[in-house]
Amino acid sequence: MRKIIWFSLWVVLIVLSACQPMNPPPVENSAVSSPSATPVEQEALASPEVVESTPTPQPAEAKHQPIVLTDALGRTVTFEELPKRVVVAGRGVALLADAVYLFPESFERVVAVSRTSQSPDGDFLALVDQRLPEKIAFETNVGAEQVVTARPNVVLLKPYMQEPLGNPLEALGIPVVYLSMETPQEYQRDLQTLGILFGNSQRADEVWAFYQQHLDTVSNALKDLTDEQKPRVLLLYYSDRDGQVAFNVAPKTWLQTILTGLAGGIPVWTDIELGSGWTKVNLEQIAGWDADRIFIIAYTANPQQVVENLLQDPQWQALRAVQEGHLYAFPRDYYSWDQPDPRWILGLRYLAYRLHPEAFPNFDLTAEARLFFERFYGLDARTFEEKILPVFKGDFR
Amino acid sequence: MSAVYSSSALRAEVKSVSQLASRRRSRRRLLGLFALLLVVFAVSLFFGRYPQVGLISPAQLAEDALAQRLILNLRLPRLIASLLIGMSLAGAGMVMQMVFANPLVEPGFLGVSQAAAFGAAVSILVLGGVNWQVQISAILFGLLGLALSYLLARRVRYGGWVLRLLLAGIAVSALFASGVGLIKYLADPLRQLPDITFWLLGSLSSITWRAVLSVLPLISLGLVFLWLMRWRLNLLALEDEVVFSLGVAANRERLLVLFMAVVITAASISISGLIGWVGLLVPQLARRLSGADARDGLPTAFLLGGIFMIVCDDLARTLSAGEIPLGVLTSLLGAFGFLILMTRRTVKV
Amino acid sequence: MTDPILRFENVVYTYPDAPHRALQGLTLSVPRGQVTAILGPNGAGKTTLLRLAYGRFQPQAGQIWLEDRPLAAFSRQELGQRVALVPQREANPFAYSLLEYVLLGRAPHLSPLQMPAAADVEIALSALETVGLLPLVKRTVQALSGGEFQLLLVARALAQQASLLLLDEPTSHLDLGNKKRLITCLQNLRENGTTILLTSHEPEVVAALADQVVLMRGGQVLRSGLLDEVWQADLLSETYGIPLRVWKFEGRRHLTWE
Repeated sequence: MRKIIWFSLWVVLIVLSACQPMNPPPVENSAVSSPSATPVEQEALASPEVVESTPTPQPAEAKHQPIVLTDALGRTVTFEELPKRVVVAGRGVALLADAVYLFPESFERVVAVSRTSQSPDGDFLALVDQRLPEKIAFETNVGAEQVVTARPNVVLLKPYMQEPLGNPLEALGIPVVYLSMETPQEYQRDLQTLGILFGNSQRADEVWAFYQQHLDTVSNALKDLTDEQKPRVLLLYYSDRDGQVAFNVAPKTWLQTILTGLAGGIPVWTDIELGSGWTKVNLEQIAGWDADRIFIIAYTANPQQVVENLLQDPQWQALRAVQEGHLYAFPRDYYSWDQPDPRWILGLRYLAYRLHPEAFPNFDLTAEARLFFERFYGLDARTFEEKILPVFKGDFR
Repeated sequence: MSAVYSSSALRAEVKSVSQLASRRRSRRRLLGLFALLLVVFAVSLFFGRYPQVGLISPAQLAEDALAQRLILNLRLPRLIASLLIGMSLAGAGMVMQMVFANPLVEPGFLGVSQAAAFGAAVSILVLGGVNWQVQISAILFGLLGLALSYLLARRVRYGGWVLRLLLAGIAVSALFASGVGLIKYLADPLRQLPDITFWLLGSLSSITWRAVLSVLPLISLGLVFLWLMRWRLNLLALEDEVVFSLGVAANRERLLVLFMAVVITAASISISGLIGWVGLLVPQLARRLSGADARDGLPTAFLLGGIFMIVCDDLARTLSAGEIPLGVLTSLLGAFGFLILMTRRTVKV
Repeated sequence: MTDPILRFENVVYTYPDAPHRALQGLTLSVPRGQVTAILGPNGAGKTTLLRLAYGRFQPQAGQIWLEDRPLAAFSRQELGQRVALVPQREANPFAYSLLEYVLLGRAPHLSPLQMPAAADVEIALSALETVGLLPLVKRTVQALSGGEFQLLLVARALAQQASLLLLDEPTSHLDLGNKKRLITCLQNLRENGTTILLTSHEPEVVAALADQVVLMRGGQVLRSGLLDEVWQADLLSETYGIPLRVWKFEGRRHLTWE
């Protein structure tokens, strides 16, 4: 008797496994993603070439035609109509959300965002989108089932969330679009993707034109620079998690390294063995590099405070850059300006100015920032004065 | 030698009472547990956070295509995975406790858990954490851990075979655990470290049909084999002296069942991450329920393990909006249950 | 004399990494249907002899014959069907029932994937009855006293239905009452035709039980033969290395040291 039960249990299990589930309906996801789920397409931009606007051919979006786009993993995603309910979920989407909100359609259509506030100064997104508190806030480790309760038409994810979140969502027939937005080139490409997604490619062009203009300004001012004229730069990310103070440098392919090159500096840390994330370095290594300029980045702490503390530290006082007065705190408001957040262009302008002040005689950082927040997020001058300026930290005029 | 038969009333009564009753009783108990498992499985299909936290009614289900897809493509493979993993870990734990004649060992301890964790962490760090690569890496390293423990045990010149394996297992576990620590240090805190940490805590949140089917043949094979050997396990628990005289090639058979136990453990770990305490607690519960004989104990452990894991996974995906790591829940419930078990009556495991 | 069921010829055995031999050139034969007792002090090699007898170790020199075939020619399972061991001590952490424990003795007759059937249960029950433990059948193993547990081990060995029963110092850790029970049980077995080979360091137990006696010391046989032949003060003194006196009282043999 027991044998029969056990036997039938196995039969049931095997039959169940043989029944492949039905394919997810309408949205064709020809997911041609390579098995690697690492942040894809990191073109190593070690040299400060000017970023050309390489137009990625996208079909013109029309109301009665299906909407087709190619996402950051090279997958083609098709929509019958414009997605009305957009969810930004999973890990690492704080900065992505800032980019999504560059599009005014997002106020209506973004219904849920996974949020941790990186900034101790408050929630920037709530400033931009007054209705955000009414919207659904997911954890960063949200499960697929929970995401589905928001009934999204599309879910925007970082590429490395494909396995944990992307695949289960697709198994349910929810379209997933991966956005990377880690380098200037990716910004350009993924802005186009967002433009198609929101049915507002014009806005995408407009935003990128703003970026391109700044990029051109910087590259033109620095185009006659020889290598000897470029200062040796060290960008350090200061972390004090768990009470452990550490200074970290970024991988070659990350935005921090790229910005240094674009701003007419030589990133000194590229000669050591770098991992795929932040690499800790000790003071000996920092001293060994003997950089001309040192910038301290802090994401939760106050970089200015950190710099002031370091200036008191006798070991740091022995560094040449500190003695020559070239230790700076990288500016930040709600988010630091060195990261893959839309603010990176401000970071570039700042860095270029600091490295080559003579090339940018009329540079006014506050004015550029005001313009940025107005053009990008529609924040008026008063909001800027009251809500953003007081949160500024770091080296700025 | 001739058996002495007597037709005394005592003998007849004893036989009927003890023999038949006990097999019938154990059969009924197993059937009851199996029915419980089916009920838990069926209810869990309807239990979750969509569209609201709790149960979805069949009427709602009939109208909502998304819910149907959810149940078929997300919950069903996840439940099957829970079932398989629960059965594997509990069964492997029972096997290990019998072979080592020690009620305090658990399936992962022969270096298997830590080595599998190391394999997964290496895969996440170096290869980018693709599911199937992590799986294979975990299984291979798990088996490597076992092999290392075995080879090391052969060189130890201290104590009996069992003690040697125990010592070797501890050493190999420590070795791989420090390897894991090193990898965590090297990993990118933003992307890789959370992956590694989540893996080390165990989770079934990214289970798809493909993951389940990839381990189904291996685990099924292992489970069936162990189930067939369920009576033999009693023999393997005896001391060497006696086992030899009973005509059993003890070491060979012990190695074989251990190998199968480790294979199903490593396969389970490879899709779910590290899950502890199931292999320690459930066999103890099973023995309390069914008696010391592994002929009943092993199937009971299978069923209890499946039920336990399904319940834990239900809680993991439903209790809060973010996924609670499964290993955390099993440790919590497992340790708690263990405490209760130990402090209640005299330990009669 | 009945034909021997077990024969040792010049058997030599050394444990791995041991400085000297455990058995040196040992020769003895165990006759069928009788009780043969190996008597000797601690360290004489008695347990080693038993281990070679059921094939756990192979001798480095010499030959062992079981039922006129070389021992090495039997498979492990075949050996288990012919020779059964009752160990001196056994540890067991799990609370088996008596029946389950005795059932383990059916292992040599079952393939690795086979379960004991009703016939096996019958045999186990009658083994329990033979040793007199049937009234306790509902208890668990851990509820038995030391003597009862020893009887249980005998029952398990009986369940093997082997033609040769080996017992390793079966009474050494039993009190007088339990000694008596065990001796009575073994005597009953001998009445029914079981061949018994036991080792002991207690001469009085041997005197109560044995037909044949083998005196061992230092890995060698000093003397073997019928009980009457061997039960001499000079032989026993030589075996134990101390002066001993033998005497008889009310038909029972006794031994005391000087």
